[in-house]
Amino acid sequence: MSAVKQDVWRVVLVEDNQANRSFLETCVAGHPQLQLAASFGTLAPARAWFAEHESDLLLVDLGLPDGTGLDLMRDVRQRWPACDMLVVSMFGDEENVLASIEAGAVGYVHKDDEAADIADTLLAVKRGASPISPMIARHLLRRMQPLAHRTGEAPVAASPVAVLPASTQGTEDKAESTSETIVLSRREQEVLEFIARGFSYAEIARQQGITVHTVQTYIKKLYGKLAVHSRSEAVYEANRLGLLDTFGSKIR
Amino acid sequence: MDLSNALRYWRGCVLGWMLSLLAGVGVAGAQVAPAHAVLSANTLTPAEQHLAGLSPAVVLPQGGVTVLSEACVLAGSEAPPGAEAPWLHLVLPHRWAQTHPGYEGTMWYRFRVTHTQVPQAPWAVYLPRAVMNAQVWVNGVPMAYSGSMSTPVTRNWYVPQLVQIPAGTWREGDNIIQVKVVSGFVSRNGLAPIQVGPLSQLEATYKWQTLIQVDAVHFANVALFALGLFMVIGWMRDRGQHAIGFQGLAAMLSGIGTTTLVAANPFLPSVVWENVSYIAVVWSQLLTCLFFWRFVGRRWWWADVLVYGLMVAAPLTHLIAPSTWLLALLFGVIYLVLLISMAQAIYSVIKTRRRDGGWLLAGCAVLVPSAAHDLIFQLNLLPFDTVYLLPYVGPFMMGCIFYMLAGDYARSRRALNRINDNLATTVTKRENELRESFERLAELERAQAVSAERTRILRDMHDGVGAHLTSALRQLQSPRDAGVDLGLVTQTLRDSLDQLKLSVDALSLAPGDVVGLLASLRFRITPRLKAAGLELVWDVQDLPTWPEGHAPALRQLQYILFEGLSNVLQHSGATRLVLGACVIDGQLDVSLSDNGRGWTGDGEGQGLQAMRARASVIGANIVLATSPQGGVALHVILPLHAQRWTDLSSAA
Repeated sequence: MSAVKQDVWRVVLVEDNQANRSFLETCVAGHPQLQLAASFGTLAPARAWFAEHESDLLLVDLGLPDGTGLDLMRDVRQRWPACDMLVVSMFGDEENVLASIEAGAVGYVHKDDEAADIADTLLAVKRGASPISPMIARHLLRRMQPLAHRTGEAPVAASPVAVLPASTQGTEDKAESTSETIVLSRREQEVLEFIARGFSYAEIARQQGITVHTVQTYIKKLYGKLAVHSRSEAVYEANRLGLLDTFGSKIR
Repeated sequence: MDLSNALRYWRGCVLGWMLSLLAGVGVAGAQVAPAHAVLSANTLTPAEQHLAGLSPAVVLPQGGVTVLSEACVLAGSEAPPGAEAPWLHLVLPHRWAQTHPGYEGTMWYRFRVTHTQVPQAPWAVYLPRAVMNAQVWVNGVPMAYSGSMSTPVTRNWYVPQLVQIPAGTWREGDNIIQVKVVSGFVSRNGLAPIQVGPLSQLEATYKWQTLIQVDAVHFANVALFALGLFMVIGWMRDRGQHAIGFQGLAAMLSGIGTTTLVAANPFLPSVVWENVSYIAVVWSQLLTCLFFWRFVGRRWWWADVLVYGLMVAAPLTHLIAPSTWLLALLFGVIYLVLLISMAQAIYSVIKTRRRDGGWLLAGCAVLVPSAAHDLIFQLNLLPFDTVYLLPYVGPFMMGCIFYMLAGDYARSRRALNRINDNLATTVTKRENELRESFERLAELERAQAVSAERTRILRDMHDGVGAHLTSALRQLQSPRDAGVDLGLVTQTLRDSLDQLKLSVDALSLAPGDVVGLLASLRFRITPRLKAAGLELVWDVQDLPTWPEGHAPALRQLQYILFEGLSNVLQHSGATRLVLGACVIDGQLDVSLSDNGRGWTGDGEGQGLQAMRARASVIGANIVLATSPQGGVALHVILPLHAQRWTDLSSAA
């Protein structure tokens, strides 16, 4: 999906704050490549709408009067996998962002972002990019290292690294095959470390001899892994607790 | 036993009591003096002796037992002497020492009995005591005897003997019964009155007497030895219990020594056996002394030396110079020591009201008269066929002591169990107390942490968002004619939002993570730098952990850098900003260098003063310099080595 389409992307907004919703609507309406498909202030009508309609982008607030945006995202990811979802976050703090990513989000916008920035972020996501903060990168690094050590799957994590030619752009990593742990390719690990240390995408691309777009792709893939991981982790936990007797063996 | 015998018996007992108390001197004196009295009592006068050969025959009743206590005596013959020999007529019991002092060898006793008719049922002659062995002849026909009549003589001296007389041996009218007695090694030779009668009646007496004098003594000895062995084993496993060890050894030796009474055919040669049993008895008594002293808990080195000395002296004296007087003196001393130690033990038991002490008292109360009785018997002051009491009283005494000591053991075991139980209870209680106190402490810590966090957040809101929001409000209320500066208000509000985001980031920063702090700062500030058209050069190296970088300190560093960035944005007019971080001289150097106008102010502005104040709180230094690009370089120097700095909780 790296080719930039000239199509107009359909956008759905879910935001309970009237002023903010109007602002976001303006953002979408003000850009020629974006088209507002629907706009909701609560969760229920949005879910009803998605039961029947498809959309290219979803911009959703987490705290809604009748529930959390996470539920809506889980529904949509199931029903419309092609729909890219972003969260409207106040602070971009790791707790909320990670929960969103695990529910299937591929990015987030800040409530106080400029209108142009929001539109740019939406289009960038559609082009295969994902925003990430150093704090979230740090969190991911912290979380993945112990997992690899604990389950003794460090060799599995290391094997794709070993076969990866350093000059290629690293799009062929097969690390996703393992579902129980998040396995990072060496490239992904390096990119995450750079981000954690405060380097921008451009600086990383320069240092690694790759394009900014590739860096962005890494992040989006990483988000995908997180979402997959969160699903399998839930199944694994349920299995471990004996909730899924029948399917347990198949799933493992 | 007739009345006069009984009187003599009891008189002897009382005398023995006194003797045992008077000990050595009494023993020595008694050795000789009463012997004459007994001699005069038992032997017939010379006038009576003249009639010896004519002593009347005793008519035996057909259906009963007759005790023959008058006899004619003749020493030194191997074959039975005839009626015309120079017989000495006397009354039994007869001790050789009375009539033949110092004589060893053979002694014939001649009895005349009359059968009114030859008995049909089998008859027997019963020898309650013949020292040491004896053979019965009837009408010149030798009867069977047990053991050996020649050296070494079988030691039947304490063993009753029953000799069956074949039916054809008797004849109607006068019959002659002769008893050939042979002496042995150091023994009180002699013969007690013999009995003659139907076998069936004598057998009962014989069996009863054998049980009392032989079988039961064997049993008691084995029991005593086993008890002693048991105690010795106990002592071997607990070497501190000397009292038990001495008592056990005493019991074992006593068992061995007493066996001499009933061992008719000892395994060892007579001489050796006599000495062994003698030594065993002496040592047993001396070890009992040691027991009493250990039991009382007193220990005198000279007393131990005395006891050990006697242990060696008694056997040596016995072997080298077997003098009766010396022997009596030694025994006297031993008995004296034994009595004194026993008296001490009794006194201690009564004085300390020792638990189970009554058993010791009971044992002593039985032992002392019994020992006196046996001693008097040995001094020939009692009937010749008296039964020794010590073989029975000894085990009883040992049993009493053992019962008492076992009580000590049982009590100490119970006490140990109680202590263990108490200990377990105490430990459990302490554990609970400790757990409770830990829980209280943890709760307190949690409360303190929550309180500290609340204080921090409040201060954060006050310094950051609160301050900016207040500024924005004041700017909106500006009384100036120019009206409200919307740009300024927007900027202030953006500042307040940025501060809020930085505050949120600070919450999840690991302690001392300066790189993380800088990274998040850059992430937050990038939109503003972009809007201002300021190029940021990122020159942050991998940094070690800042040891003093606790959450409040990191927040202060954020304030300082944010203030520095704001200054660059607002006042410097720079187009390029380098954010550097590296380690220099063991310190963290975080710097902001711009290419702007440089430092123009006359003094330090309010912003810089605030930065310095914050820096001082976290032990940091602020250095202002000219940057290589010509602008200002702001260095925040953080020490890497721990040092004391003002407690943040009290610093504003």
